[in-house]
Amino acid sequence: MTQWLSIVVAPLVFLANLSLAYALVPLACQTQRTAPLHATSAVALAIVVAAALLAWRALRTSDASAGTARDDFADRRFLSCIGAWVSTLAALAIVLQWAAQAVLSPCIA
Amino acid sequence: MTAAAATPIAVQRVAVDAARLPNHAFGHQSVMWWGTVGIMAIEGTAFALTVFMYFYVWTRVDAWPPDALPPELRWGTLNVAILLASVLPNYYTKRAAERYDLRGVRIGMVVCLLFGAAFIAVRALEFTTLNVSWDTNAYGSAVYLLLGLHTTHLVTDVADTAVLGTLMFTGPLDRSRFVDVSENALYWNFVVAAWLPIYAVLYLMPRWL
Amino acid sequence: MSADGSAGTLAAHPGRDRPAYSARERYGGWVDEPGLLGALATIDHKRVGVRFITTAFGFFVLGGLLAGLMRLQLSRPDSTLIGPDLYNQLFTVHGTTMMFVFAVPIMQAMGVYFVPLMVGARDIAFPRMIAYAYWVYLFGGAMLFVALALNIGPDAGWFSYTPLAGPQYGVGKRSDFWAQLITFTEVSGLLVAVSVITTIFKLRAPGMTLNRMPLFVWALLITSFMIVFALPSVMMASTALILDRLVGTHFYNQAEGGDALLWQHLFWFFGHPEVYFIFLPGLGFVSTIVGTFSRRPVFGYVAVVLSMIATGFLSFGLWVHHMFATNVPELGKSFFTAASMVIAIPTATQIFCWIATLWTGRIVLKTPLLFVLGFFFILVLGGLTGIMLAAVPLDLQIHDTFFVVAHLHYVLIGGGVFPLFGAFYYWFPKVTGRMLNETLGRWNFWLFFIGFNVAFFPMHILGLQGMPRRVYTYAAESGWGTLNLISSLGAVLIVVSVLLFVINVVRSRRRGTAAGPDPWGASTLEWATSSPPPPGNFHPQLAVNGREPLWEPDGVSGRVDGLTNDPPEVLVTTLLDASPHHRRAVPAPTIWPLLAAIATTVMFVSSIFTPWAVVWGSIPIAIALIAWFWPTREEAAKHRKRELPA
Repeated sequence: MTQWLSIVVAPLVFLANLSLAYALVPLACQTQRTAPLHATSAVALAIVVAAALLAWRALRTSDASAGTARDDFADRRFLSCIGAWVSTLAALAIVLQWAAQAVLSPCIA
Repeated sequence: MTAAAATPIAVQRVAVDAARLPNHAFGHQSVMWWGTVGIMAIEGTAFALTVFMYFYVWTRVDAWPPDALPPELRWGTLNVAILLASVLPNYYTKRAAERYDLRGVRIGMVVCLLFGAAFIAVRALEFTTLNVSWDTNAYGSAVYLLLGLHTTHLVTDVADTAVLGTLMFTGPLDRSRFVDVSENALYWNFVVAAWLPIYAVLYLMPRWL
Repeated sequence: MSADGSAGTLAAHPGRDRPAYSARERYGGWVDEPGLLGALATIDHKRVGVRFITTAFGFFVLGGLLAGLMRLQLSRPDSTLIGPDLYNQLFTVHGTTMMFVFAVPIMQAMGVYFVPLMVGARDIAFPRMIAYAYWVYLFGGAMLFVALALNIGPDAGWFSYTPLAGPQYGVGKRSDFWAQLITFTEVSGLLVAVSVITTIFKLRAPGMTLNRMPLFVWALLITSFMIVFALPSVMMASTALILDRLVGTHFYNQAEGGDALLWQHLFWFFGHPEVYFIFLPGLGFVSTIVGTFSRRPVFGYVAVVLSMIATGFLSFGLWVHHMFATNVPELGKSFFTAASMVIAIPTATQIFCWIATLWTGRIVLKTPLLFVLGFFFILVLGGLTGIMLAAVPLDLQIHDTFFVVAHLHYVLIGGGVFPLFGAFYYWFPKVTGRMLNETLGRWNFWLFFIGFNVAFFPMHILGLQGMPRRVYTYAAESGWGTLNLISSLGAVLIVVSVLLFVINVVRSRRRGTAAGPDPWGASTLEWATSSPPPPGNFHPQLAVNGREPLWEPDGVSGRVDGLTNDPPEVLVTTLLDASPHHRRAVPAPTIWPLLAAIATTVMFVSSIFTPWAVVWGSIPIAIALIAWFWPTREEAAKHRKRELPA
């Protein structure tokens, strides 16, 4: 069931981070501190990367269990594969968003 | 033409004999559960969005609540107590349904309905002590929307329970009705659970933040 | 007839299909009563599905005619054919119809018809709710056009921005009709979504693990989840709008602490996923058609599934890109630029998978595939202009110009309507038992493809030249006349093309070549039953053992015995592995969904005029719902007989 973590939780973390960072921008300008923005991105990225690593690892270990019944194996690989790629893409999206935070000031309106 | 014409050999094999299977199920294996959870997801999203609207309006002003006192605590808090307490007869009813205990279900639903009448009455009182009107300002509008949305759920939940409860007394019954009772209990929990954050937003946040 | 009432297989009971056997003898409780009452009371997902699809297509034609009028008005500068007030209603009702009353409902309706068949189920979950959802949808769409006909149609644009649509500037009831249309279509859409999700998760044929579901089913599953989480946003937005207009709330009133931008956030949080409600099923059609007409399974099944899942999630993170021209902080906007570009990755992935499928397959170039090829061309162009618009500086220059109109039509018609027409040609034989004419199909396709590009490509240039959206006319000195005229001529070609399609459908229903169960030699389960499918879809239900059950040697692993036709029963299976879990009786057809929909309509329309309608209007609805739910003695007795001994 950890595959569901990488399939569902990872993209939700991306969305939550997006919404939270978006809401925090005016505050960052007011307080002249971008640390909270960087903090949320860092936490989000950590969670998503962890989910991705779990999924990639599950994918590699299911490679090893090639002895099981054909379809059982295929189903477990299927979900792990989806989770691995979805969480990787979510990580990429978080990184790109973080890049914007690194370049632009929150006070440009 | 049936599949027999397309794949005659395979279809002669019986893969499943469904006659050996029960004709209903409780919990997440049942279709009704998925329907109920689907509605809960929809309504939960609606509640979350309404809370978002309330906070959005908050960001537009400095003082909160603007030009008003926060809603009076007593009736809302009483409702927290009544709603939480109603979880007990609700749970009892659910367990009775899962044992096909008709008498237990009947008693449980009557008790739930008594709680329902109580919290609807208290909700009516809540509306009288909000200290703002829906047309005073956006804050008032948000308060009424949030409380109104939850009230709609309270009313429909109690109405559902009343109809189902009546059916459990009059019949005609079969075992799938016990599944309906179980799913109704699930929805009841949702309506109670939804109240807790809304109560916090309406009554506590303006005092704490 | 075997002991459990099932019709059995032809091989086991020769002569079962003798004309002497009536539909009711063969299919028991699956069959509707004959005549008008039976038609109104039906809950057969195929009958309701056809109705749904046909109605949505009818609205497509109506919305298209409105566009035709708009193009007529815009074909010359300084035109006095249509005045500004009517023009405002035209573009509003055109957009509203196409987005809310045609595109999303038709995609859901295709799901209503085909998802149960493709997962090998005998019925959809919650069939009565589907019937109700159809009627509510029909009445809502009708209300919109009645308002237009009475010259009180909504006129604030299909996304109805405040304060234009609010109480101060939105005079009369026009925007209330818009807001209530939202309520009608969203109730309908949400109910269908819940039913489709439940069908896909719980009613799949035994052996159809998640890993083996057809790609179209995945598309509808993801779309339905998106609908569940996005539609409530526009519901709340439109409810708040009606409240502002009717009872004096201040959600969008800047002067009393509200905000016009709140509308935009709420609307677009829904509005961006909404375009994916249209696009994702389109992708599902493309996968289906590419597979069948390449004579091979789609390359990279897992990649296609995960791309659709990623698209579904990411689409919830794009909404502010519709608000780049507002005073939202620039850093905030850039987050949405990033996400709007990232979402191109999963779409591109799918396109590469399809290209690989076609490249390594044995192509059969029939009309469905022609529409898919048209999709590739048009959608990719639309995607490219989307990447352009995702950049804030560029968007600021061309926001609210015809460039955006061009972009949105390229992605929606390219990504949604072209695959939809391909799906019509593909599945018409299954629904009616007859093939559509291939020659007319080619004419249909080419006229549509050429007409579409002639109509919409010039709009990119017009937008770059500064022509704004939603203007009822423009000055001759602007120099926009020639391109507008060309665009309008393209629109004429589109009208002719759609007319050809309608002619093709009408003729082929009577005189088309008989199709048989599987005219295309396709691989999915809907082709394993007759054309059209019988009431109850599969007699017997099949169990599967692979992703392409009709292509793989052991694709169909056997049949399901023990389900009765009276009461009609479906097999409920487990979520991941689709192993059999229990039986469930399908409810009988009933007129109550229609009556409940009528009661709902009365309440919704009345509440445009008075808030008290919500109170007294709920009483007939409650009565109808109780009657709908209340079991009959006969039904209960049948269910008890089918219970296992305790």
